[in-house]
Amino acid sequence: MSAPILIVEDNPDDLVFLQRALQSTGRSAPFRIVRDGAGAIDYLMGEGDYADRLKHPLPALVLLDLNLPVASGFIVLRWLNEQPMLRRLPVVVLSSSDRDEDVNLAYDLGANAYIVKPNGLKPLGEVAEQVARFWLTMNRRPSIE
Amino acid sequence: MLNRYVVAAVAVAVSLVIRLALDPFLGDESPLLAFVVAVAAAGLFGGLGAGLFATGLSAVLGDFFFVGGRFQVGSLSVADVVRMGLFISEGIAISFLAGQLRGKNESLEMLTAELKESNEALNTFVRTVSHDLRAPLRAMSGYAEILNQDFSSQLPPQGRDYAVRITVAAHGLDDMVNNLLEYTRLERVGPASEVASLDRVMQGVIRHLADDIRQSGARVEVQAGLGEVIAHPATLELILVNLVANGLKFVEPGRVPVVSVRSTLRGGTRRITVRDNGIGVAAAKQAAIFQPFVRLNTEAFFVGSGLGLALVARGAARMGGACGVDSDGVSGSEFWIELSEAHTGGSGVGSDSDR
Repeated sequence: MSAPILIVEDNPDDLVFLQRALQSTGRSAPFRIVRDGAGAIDYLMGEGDYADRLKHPLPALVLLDLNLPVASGFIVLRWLNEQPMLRRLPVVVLSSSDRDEDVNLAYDLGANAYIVKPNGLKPLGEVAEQVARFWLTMNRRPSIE
Repeated sequence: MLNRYVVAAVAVAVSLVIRLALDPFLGDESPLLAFVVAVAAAGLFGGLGAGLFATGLSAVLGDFFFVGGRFQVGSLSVADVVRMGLFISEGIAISFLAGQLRGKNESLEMLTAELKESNEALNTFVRTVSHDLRAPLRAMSGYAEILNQDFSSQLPPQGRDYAVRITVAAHGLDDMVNNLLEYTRLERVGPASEVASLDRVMQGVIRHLADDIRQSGARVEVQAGLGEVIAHPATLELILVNLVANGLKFVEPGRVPVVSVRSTLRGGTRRITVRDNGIGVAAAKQAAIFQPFVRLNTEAFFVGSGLGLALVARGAARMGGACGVDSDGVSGSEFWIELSEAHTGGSGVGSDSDR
């Protein structure tokens, strides 16, 4: 089974749209969902509910919202950056914020791309299509063990 | 506060030194005139109390040095007493007036600071609200679109129509929120300092409006070699997008919109005009349309947020320019903005034909 996309998103509506967009890319990219920053860190460490790596495999890509409960996307980025292996994991930020401060801080903390959440299903479908195509097929993945 | 009395004393001392220096020329003439200046200065700086203090100190020193017997207090003639009395009443009047002036100044400064603060708070509020509105808005239009795309075969025609209407309304609200955000963003733009090529900015405008131009079948004529101005390119593009978009929008149904953009140079100022063949703006309404949330046309085919021209006016003002409209109210309008020419005084003045 190919490595999934880890979606870190708390807004239930955005999740519905994002799942629909990813499913309609025709690539049937598998995905896993966590609802906050702490959940993302637990998942990536394989702790607690996520101890079973067969059920919860390491993702090929993290799709990260910034405005999250418990721990924000920035905290996840900073934590990832401090991990010896996991820091190699590609992270694409998908946020509704178009503020330069947020964009720059995300890159400073090691984000690999920053996408402002588009309005409308068609543009979101395009984002899902492009992300899946580039990060899951074109991009050469690092080894993380 | 001790400080202002110290300042009053220093002012009086300076006046005393000046009067002493002038003594060889003046002798016994105008013994107290120099002190009037000290009283006024003390009153303006320290208010009524400091002015009165300066008046009293001046009277004592004036009496000692210049009035009546020199270097002694008292022993005044009747004329000296009248002179002293006049000076003291003058001093009181000046102190009073200067004190009032100072008080007015202070309250004006406080008022200005308060206004600035509440304006900033309002802007922050609008920014936050606009931003928070976006998430539920995205949800509304998203679900309406899903209804249209995934369930249209299960919906009766009227149901499909309603779903489309939700989508259209959500897009309209989204435009409004975006305009509000732009409007508050303009507040934070500093004075314009960059040289902006109008040709390049217009290329961006045309790109931005490509869909609208295609849909309306409009003809947009842009003069070649529009020149360069001092501006923020992004703000200038925002202004011109709004002006051209208005030209596309406010046209009688069935008429092909024709919008032409040109620029002229007069003195150090470049005027950029956007002319359309639309419905025009009546003279009585020409000032009002640059205010936020004024929309003259409520008919369904004229859509807009009522913020477009307010953005134009605020953007032009932030760049140190001006804007306006010329229209006979029937056959189209000519909107204009004026900005500083980029190459004033240099050899490149009026070099439009070189391009």
